[in-house]
Amino acid sequence: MFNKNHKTFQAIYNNKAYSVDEIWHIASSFKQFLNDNQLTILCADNDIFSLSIYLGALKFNSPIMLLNHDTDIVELTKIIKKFKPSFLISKNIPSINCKHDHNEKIHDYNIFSFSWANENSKLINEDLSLLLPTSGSTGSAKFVKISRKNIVANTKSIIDYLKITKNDKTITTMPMSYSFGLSIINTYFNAGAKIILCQHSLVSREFWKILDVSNITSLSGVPYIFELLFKFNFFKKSYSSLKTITQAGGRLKSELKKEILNYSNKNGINFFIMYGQTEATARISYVPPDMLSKKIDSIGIPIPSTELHVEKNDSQEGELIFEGDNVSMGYANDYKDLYLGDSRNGILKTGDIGFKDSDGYFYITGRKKRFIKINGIRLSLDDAEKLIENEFCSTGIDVRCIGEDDNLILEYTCVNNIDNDLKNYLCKKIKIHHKYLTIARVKNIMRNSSGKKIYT
Amino acid sequence: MTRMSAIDKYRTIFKECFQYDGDVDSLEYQSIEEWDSVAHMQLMTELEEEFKIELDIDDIIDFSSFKVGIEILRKYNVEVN
Repeated sequence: MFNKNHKTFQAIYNNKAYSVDEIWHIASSFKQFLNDNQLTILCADNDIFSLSIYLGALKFNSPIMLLNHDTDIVELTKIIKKFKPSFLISKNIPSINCKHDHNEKIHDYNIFSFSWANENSKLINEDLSLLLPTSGSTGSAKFVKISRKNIVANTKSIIDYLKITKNDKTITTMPMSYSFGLSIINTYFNAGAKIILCQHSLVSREFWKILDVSNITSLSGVPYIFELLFKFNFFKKSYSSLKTITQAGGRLKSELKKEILNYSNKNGINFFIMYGQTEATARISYVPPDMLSKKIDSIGIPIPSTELHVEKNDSQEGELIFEGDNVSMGYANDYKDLYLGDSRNGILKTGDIGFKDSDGYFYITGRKKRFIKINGIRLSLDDAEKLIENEFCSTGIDVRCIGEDDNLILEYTCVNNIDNDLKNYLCKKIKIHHKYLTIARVKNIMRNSSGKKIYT
Repeated sequence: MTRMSAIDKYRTIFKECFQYDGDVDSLEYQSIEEWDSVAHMQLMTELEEEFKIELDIDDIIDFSSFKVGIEILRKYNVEVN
């Protein structure tokens, strides 16, 4: 799992630098809850304890599911019942409405132990290391199964093309349970670099204080992070230590891309636009910075030691197919899926439609599957429809969800105008701000002759 | 704009932005789930549009509660209270 370079790794948390030995020391206090063949769920925050537990799980060969620390109790209970973990580690949940053997507290984290009678006779697949959520909270509770081999391959490839060395230092801007956020932890750890664990949002004085004094060499984020950085005049300032900016998690607006590119050129920074999916552990492709001005709308070329091509024929538009050792094992919808091995054999149908230009650069033009991204987080339009249908079934509602990234459009028919009820329910349920939601009450929902909703 | 209507407007922006029916006067940043960083930036944009001002970065960061916001707007000659 770990190469020898990781020995120089440091995590900086609350102004204290933690060495690898100190991290293993913290991890060892959780060791009894990190066993091979037993699933542990960690509600992870960007703190030294979550980091140590995650790295400990890898070290101790313990399959771990990462959730965000703000996962609500209803969602969490559902996940526990479906996945039957042996342990839940969370600092925000003081009690839980699932039968558990006991709970205890270590370093602010509550640990709940479960035993599931007669159901754990089968063994969790030995390749399974990590489960990451596929999307935000639509109640679908679907996870990507990631193996040790996947993490090793993706980490190595990313360190290779981003040229991360032990002299690098970055700061967290995303949750650990988000594949992009986690890939930064994996790569910085294995490169023996430094990472500042920051729990403050960009909209806080603390974040900017840390940024001003910490001499980071690299900064990463999803489009929303860059919109905030822009709003806060980040690109008018100069940080002499900053050498790399990386962006993934959705399409950044063209004007902003150009703004950051200009800034990067002026300040001697390598600006990487990247593309990936949790299904590929994290990273699939990137644009080499010296090509970015020519390929500004491209998702770039496949990361080292992988392949990308267009389904059937590279010369026309089609689904992008990715091949590499970082292609995950498949999905898990409940504990039974944890017994199963790799179902993809290193080949991932990305669901993204695109083409390849004559220089070998890839472009995305659409999506095969019905989902959009809001703030970089995937949202299934069908799941959103199902949520509404279930919650509002007594109103006789008919609903259709369409839209594009950062704009969910909900059309519905109903005898009454329930715009506000829909808005309140959906925004709370899937945790989005209502500025991303457009609601329209329509006369009828278009259906084809067989009664299926028409989405195009 | 009369004094009363300004404070009402100010309250309405909070209620609307957070989709919050409770008492907004006592709200603080991140005191409710709805007032997260995304909603915060949206709140700033809506206040800027409503009161025709452009908030300074420090003020956006310092805008830590409903009450503090009133003081901050005063610096821009916006009297909501």
